[in-house]
Amino acid sequence: MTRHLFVISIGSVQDFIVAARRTRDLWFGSHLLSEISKAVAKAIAEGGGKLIFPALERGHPDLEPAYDLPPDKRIDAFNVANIILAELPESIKDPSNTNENARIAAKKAWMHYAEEARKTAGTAVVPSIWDEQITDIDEQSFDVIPIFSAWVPLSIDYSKDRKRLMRLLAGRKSIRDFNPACGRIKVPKSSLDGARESVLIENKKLRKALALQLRLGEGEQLCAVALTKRLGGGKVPFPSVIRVAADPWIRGVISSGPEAKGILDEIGNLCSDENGFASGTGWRPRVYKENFGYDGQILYPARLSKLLKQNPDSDSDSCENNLLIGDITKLEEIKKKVDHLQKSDKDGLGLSEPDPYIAILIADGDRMGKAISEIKTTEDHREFSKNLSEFAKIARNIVESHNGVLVYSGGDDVLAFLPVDICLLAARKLHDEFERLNLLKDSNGKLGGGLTLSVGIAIAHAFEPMEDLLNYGKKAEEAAKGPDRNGKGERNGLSVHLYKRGGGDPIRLREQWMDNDRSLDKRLCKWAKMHNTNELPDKAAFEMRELAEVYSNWKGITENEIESIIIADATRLLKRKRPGGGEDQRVVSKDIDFMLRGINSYEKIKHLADEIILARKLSEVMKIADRSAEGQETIS
Amino acid sequence: MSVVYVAIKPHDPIIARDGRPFGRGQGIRMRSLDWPYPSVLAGSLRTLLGKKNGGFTDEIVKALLAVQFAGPLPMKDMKLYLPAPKDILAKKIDEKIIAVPLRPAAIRSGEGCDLPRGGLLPTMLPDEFDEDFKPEKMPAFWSISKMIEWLANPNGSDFSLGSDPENDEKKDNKTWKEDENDAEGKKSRSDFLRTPEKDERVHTGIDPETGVAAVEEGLLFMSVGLDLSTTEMGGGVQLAAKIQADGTFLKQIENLNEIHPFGGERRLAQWTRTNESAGWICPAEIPAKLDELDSGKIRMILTTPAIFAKGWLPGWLELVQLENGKEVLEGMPPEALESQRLRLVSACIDRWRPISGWSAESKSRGPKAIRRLVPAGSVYFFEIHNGKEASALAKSHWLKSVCDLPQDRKDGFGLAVWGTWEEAKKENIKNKG
Repeated sequence: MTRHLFVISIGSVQDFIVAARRTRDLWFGSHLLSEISKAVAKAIAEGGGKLIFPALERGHPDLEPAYDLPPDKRIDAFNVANIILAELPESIKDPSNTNENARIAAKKAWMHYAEEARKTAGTAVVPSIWDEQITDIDEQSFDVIPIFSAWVPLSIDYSKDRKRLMRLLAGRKSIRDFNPACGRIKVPKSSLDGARESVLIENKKLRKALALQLRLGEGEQLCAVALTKRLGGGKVPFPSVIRVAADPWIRGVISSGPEAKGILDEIGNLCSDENGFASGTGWRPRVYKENFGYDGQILYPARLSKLLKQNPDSDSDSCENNLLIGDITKLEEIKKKVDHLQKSDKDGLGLSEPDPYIAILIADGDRMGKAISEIKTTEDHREFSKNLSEFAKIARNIVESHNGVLVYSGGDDVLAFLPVDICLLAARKLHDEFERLNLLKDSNGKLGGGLTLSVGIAIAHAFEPMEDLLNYGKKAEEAAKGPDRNGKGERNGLSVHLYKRGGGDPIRLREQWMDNDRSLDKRLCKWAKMHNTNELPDKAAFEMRELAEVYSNWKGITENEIESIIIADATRLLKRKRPGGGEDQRVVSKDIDFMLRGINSYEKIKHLADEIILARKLSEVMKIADRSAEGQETIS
Repeated sequence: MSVVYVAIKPHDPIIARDGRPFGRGQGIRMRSLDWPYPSVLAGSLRTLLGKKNGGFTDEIVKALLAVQFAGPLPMKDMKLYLPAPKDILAKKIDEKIIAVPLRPAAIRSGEGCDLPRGGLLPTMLPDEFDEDFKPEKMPAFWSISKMIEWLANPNGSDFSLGSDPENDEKKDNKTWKEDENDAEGKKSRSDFLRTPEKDERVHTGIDPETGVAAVEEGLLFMSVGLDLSTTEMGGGVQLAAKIQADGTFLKQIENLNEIHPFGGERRLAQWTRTNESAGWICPAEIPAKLDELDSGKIRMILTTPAIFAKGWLPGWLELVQLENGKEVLEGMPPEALESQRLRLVSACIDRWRPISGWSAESKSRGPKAIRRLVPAGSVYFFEIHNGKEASALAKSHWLKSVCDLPQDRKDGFGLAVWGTWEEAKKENIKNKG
């Protein structure tokens, strides 16, 4: 009689979640995968298995499906990672039975959501194609989400058993078996990944009628999986990236005084009934609902004009071109109010337009695999799992308290959208809190730290396709892992990338985290603050870039010599007063000394120029976010 | 049917789209594959031939579909490059990249996993690699000589991955072209090529009524092309194809030297008849090594994506119950002899990829049905009934299609190369890990 260690891996996170056009698709993709994983975990626990990761006992409320919760609570549901580890007792003689039950549970969970979506979509769906895509050839196969499992006998050496188990799972995954597709000719493919036929009806008129309900993009095609992601889970509103981008502006409007706040509330009132131009944000983060709980596109004049140009006769089937009756009247009202807030003429409050940039933050624990491989007992592993789940909750709080939207937090990995002005503060907090978790036990059995978090931030235009935004975030996360530009300092990194729309190569900065004011995040905030107080002239960054080029490829000169030359040159540039720079140009020597400390090479001065350019973007948004007189002081 | 070799030198980035809808009111972005599917080559050349022969009558279409294609594969200095195999991982130890082979491994007593039916084994890292590691990114294509070395190396020990162009570039910020001039680096570095760089372009549609660019009307769109001309891919990379045809078509291909579109958006390429490049014929090392080992073990690596009747599993492999009750997967690839009957032991297969495309044939004009591909580079480990036949099979089926449907074979899907394999030997790898 033997006990077994059992592992099951559900789907591919990349394939399943990333194919998304809207934040709601993205969130629900990850929620759905977590719910399917949860169903698997529950089935294992109910079959007598003792879960290690997630460390939940049979009957624990966190194992209950989120669809039993009221819609506004579903976002808070416990997140289960897509790999589940459990200990099977001696009484389970054949672990393949556990595997079978787990698979059946996974499929049931999926079918619950798929059928729900199917019902909502109603006549929009071609039944035969739908059925082909969600029906598997037998009870065991699961075409939509591949599932793999492995098991090994449990000995006294847990760490060794676990390692063997993971090897075996990797070996199992080397054969990614799949069934042939039942494709159809003359049917368009899903716009999200092109991997399955669209299940939506071709009839343009019907599509137009359903455009709003399905939140269709122009000509968008959805397969059964994509449609389930769009409609599954019921009416759970989720903030869009544009709402995140508009957040600093909304805060700015509120801080500028009661008149502006009143107008913003009136705009909110015009958005509050059922309409086609501004869906609700829901309660996550709470501050959205309190400040302005609607999608932010109407706050951008270009988008607003586009919405106003409705042509009822057009063929367009996008939700934006198929508004409800009465929407135009509301939009016209909104336009007047938006103009009032934004314009600087005699009738306007001069609060300008919202900045369209957002920060995509992707964080990942460093060397987690290695850390887990050092865990000696199942009990320690359970404790580790619990701590990690704790971080998932902490991460949500951090992101939301920085007015951000959390897409997922599976423990050591986080994906969130944040307003540009406070994204670095959130990143710092995530990093520091992760370190503080003390995830591992040291050789004396005491909890010790040692684990770090790498955080990648990409700042990009919120109107770019979701696919690109995620890609930028992914690249920033990869860069955060390191090494830096000198090939050193892997892991424990922060990278910040800035993608200017139509603006050539992105700016890429990456360093390891430091606990002092020289850390990259602190420096960027400081430069931004200097921009805000006009201490840094607007053109300084670009002039510094030009200046840097002068020092490219200098030879036959010592580091000290070049340092003194570069510093003298850069100081001259920074201290120069500029015409039109206003009366309040202040030159604070100690800030300039701080800025230029240790700049002794072409690379470093070039890097500094990039930092200043990036900080300027932060500063622009910070200014928008805080219109109050003391506002500039809150950012350091 | 006679064989002709063709070289295709793109003038512009190649458009090889994935299946997502594109067009007015459907999507404003084309997305690119990492490398064109075989059907892109077959479709482009069949179009070229059709146009030369007065259009696409039923008769001509039928004749065009009978022309057989192999490719497109990258070619440089008259040497083929093949997609990196999936039975190897690259591990970095102290700035050095070492090769870690994946080989079928026995499951120990009491262990199990949910592999598909058929008595299959998982492929595993050698036990000697104690620590788990994150594999380094593998260059996308290997030179034919590097691939031969890998195929002739049964347990994957003492195999050098040389230096990786990807990492090199990051480190010394050199372009690939500069590396070429570096006599010392030339040998090892020219063994690998990367995926071509993706060239993104924003275009403006022209309103047919007014003849002007209509930005306001949503006629802006973006294309993504594969840019072979960049140093990223190593200057001088062309696409190689092997074509079998007869009659008029054969003559026309033999005299081929013209500019004609390759792939989508009428992006142009120079098509020329060329000599046979190194790699199309099975090199002597492979059968020699198979004969020398005489182990009855033979490895199949796909060099173009394959379409199989049973999804991941070739349709020619049947589930057979042995006398002892054990189930196995057995069968012969198309055009192989009964004595070359294979039994599947294990495989390294990545996730499926979709392929659809647009049918230009009048009777089925519109989107083609989606099919699922086994990605190029996937590896199948077999045992052959008659060990003596392994070398003959490698020779006769070298870069030949193993797909189930004759038309998929003619279109160039599922071209296989063959080699040796055996379980990793401890002592050989221990020294390296």
